[in-house]
Amino acid sequence: MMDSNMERELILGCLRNDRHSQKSIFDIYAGKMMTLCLRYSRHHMEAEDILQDGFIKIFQNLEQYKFEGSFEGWMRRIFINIALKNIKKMSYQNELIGAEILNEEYESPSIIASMSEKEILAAIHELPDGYKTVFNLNVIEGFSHKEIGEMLNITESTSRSQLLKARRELQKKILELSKVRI
Amino acid sequence: MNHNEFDKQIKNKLSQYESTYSGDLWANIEKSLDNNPKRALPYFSGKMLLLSGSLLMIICAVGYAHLQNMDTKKLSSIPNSLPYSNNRAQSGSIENENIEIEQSNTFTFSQGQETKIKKNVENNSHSSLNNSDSNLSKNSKNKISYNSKARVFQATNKQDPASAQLVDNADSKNLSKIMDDTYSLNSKDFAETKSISTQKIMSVEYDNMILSLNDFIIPDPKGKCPKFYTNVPQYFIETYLGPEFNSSVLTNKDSEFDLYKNLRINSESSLLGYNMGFRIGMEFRNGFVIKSGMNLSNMRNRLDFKQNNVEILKYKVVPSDTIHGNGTVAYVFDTISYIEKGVRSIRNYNSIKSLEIPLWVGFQKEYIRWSIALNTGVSLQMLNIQTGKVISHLTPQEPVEFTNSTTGHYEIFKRSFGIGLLASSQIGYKIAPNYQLIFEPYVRYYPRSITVNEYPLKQNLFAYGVNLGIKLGF
Repeated sequence: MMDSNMERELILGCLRNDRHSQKSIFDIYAGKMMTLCLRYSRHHMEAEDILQDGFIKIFQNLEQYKFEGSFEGWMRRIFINIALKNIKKMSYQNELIGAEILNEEYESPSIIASMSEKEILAAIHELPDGYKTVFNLNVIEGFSHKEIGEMLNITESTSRSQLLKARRELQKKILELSKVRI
Repeated sequence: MNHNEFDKQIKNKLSQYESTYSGDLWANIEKSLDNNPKRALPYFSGKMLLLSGSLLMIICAVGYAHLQNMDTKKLSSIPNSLPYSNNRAQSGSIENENIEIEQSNTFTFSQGQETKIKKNVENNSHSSLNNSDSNLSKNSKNKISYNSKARVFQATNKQDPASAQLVDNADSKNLSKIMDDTYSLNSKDFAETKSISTQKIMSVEYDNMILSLNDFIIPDPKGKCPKFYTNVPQYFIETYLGPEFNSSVLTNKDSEFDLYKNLRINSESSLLGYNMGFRIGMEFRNGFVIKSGMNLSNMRNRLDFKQNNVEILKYKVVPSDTIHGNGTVAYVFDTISYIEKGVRSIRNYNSIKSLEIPLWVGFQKEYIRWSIALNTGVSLQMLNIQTGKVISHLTPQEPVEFTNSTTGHYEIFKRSFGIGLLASSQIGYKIAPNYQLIFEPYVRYYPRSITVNEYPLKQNLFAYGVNLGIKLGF
C-alpha cells in the first residue's frame, strides 16, 4: 500500500500537470482499475476504453479531489460513473429482464477459494449486463439498492430482484467451471 | 453457503486483483492530455476574476462618489462676504439686483403654495405669483424680493434634514433668527431649482459652514421627501421576489437528431418558477445607477413522456406445495416474472436552481412619487443545481435523470451556464421618504448553450418574469 505522504506528493504533482507524477499514479492504480472496468464491460477493449477515459477525466479534474477520504475510493467512483455512462450509452439495461429461476444448490466455499481471480472475473464477465451491473454495484462496491436504483434509474425492488438472479447465475457458472475442472 | 458469505468471498477475491492492460494505454492517455491540457486556472477562477472585476467596479464607483462628496465640500467654502454689494435686507425682505433666474424654473416654497417664475430677459417682461404667505417676484429690473413673512428659506441636507439656515451676508442679518418653521426638502421633486443661480446672492449657513447654494433646495411644502440635492450619490438596497418562466431554444448540430429535437420540444413545458434576491447600489445625480447583489432563480419545467406497446416486466408470486415422505406438506412460494404490453407514462418536474451575482447599470428618472428606470447588465452564475429527467439522445430514447448532485447522471447540462445577459425596466412608487415599492419586468438570457459539447443539441435558455420588491434609500 502506498504511503499517504507519497500519494499526496504525487497528487500535488499531477495538479501541477507533472507528467511523471501522472504516470506514477497510473502505474499504481491502473491494474486495480482495469479489474473494475472489466467487471462492468463486455470485453477487454471496452474495459480499456473506460480505463483510458477514466484516467484522462481524473487528471483533468483532479482539483476536485479535496484530500478528504481515500483517493482510491474517489478514483473508483469516477471509473464507476464512466462505466455506468457507457452502459447507458450501449443500452445494456434492456437485458435486465427475462431470466429463468435457477434451482442449483449453492456451491461450497472451497470452490470459490480454489478458483483464480481471473476465473471469477470471467464468470462475472459472462453474466448478462444488467445482472453484472447490479451485482458489481452492490456486492463489490457496496452501494445500497436505493443508491443503485437512483444510478440505474430502476426501482429498489428491481435492483434486489436483479441481484438475486445475478447471484444465482454466477453460482451456476462457478459450479459449471468447477465441474469442468473435475 | 449463505449470500453474505458468497458475496464476501467474491469481493475478497477481486478487491486487490490487478488485471493486465495494453502497454500503449499510457501513451494514449498522455496524447489525450497533451491535446486537451488541464486548465491552467482552476475551474472557478474565471468566476473569481469576474467577481473581482465587479467588486473593482463597485469600489471605483464608491471612490467616485467620495470624490464627488469632496467636491461638494469645496463648493461649500463660499466666502462669508458676497461679491455683490447690492444685496440688502429691508424690513425682513431681501432684494438683490443681480439675481439670475433661468427660464421656466418652477419651484415651491411656503406652505403648500407653488410659485412659478419665468424669465424673459430680452423683453423684460414681469412675472410673479403671490400667495398668502409669501411673495416671490421678478420684475423687469431683474430683481427678486423675498418676503420674510414666509420665513421659508430653510435648507437641509440628507445627513441632518432641516438644519441649515439662510443668511443674508451682505447685511449680516441672519434670518434664521426669525425662522420658526421647519420644512422638509426634496431635491428630486424640484429638480429644476438647481439651475437657479442663487449662489450669486445668497449662501446658506450650516453648522458654521457655508454651503453652496447648488446644494440648497427650496422647501417642499408637502414635507414628504427630505432629501438634499447634491452630487453625492444616493445609496440604496433592493430586495425582491417574483414569478419566473423560462423558455429554451433548441438547435441541432446534425439533422440526424431532428426527430430527437422534436421529441424534446414536445415532451417539455415551462412551469412557474421563482426569482428572488437583493441588490445594493448607488444612484448618481445624473440618474446613472449601478447595483449588484445576489440572485437566486428556480427555472422549472415538466417532462411528459408516453410510450405505447411497451413490454413491462411483471412479477407474480406462485405458491406450490410439496408433500414429504412423512406426510407433512411444505408450502413453497416462488416468484416468476412475465412480460406484459402496455403504455408507459412518465411525468417529472424538473428544476434548475441558479445562484448568480448580477451587475446592473441603468438610468433612472424620478418624479414626485414615481420613478422609472431602464437597466441592463450581466450575471455570473456561481452555483447550478439541476434535478429532473430529460429524454436521452441515446438509444433507447427514454427519460433519464440529469440530476447533477448524484453520481451516474446523464450529463447533458453544463455545470455552469457562465454569463447571463440581463435587461429590465423598473417602476418605483414612493410609499415613504426612503421607501419605494418596485415593479420590475425582466429578462435573462444565457448566450452560451447550456448543454455540454458532446450533446447533439444546443440549448439556449431564456428566463423572464416580474420582480416585486422594496427599495430602501439610505
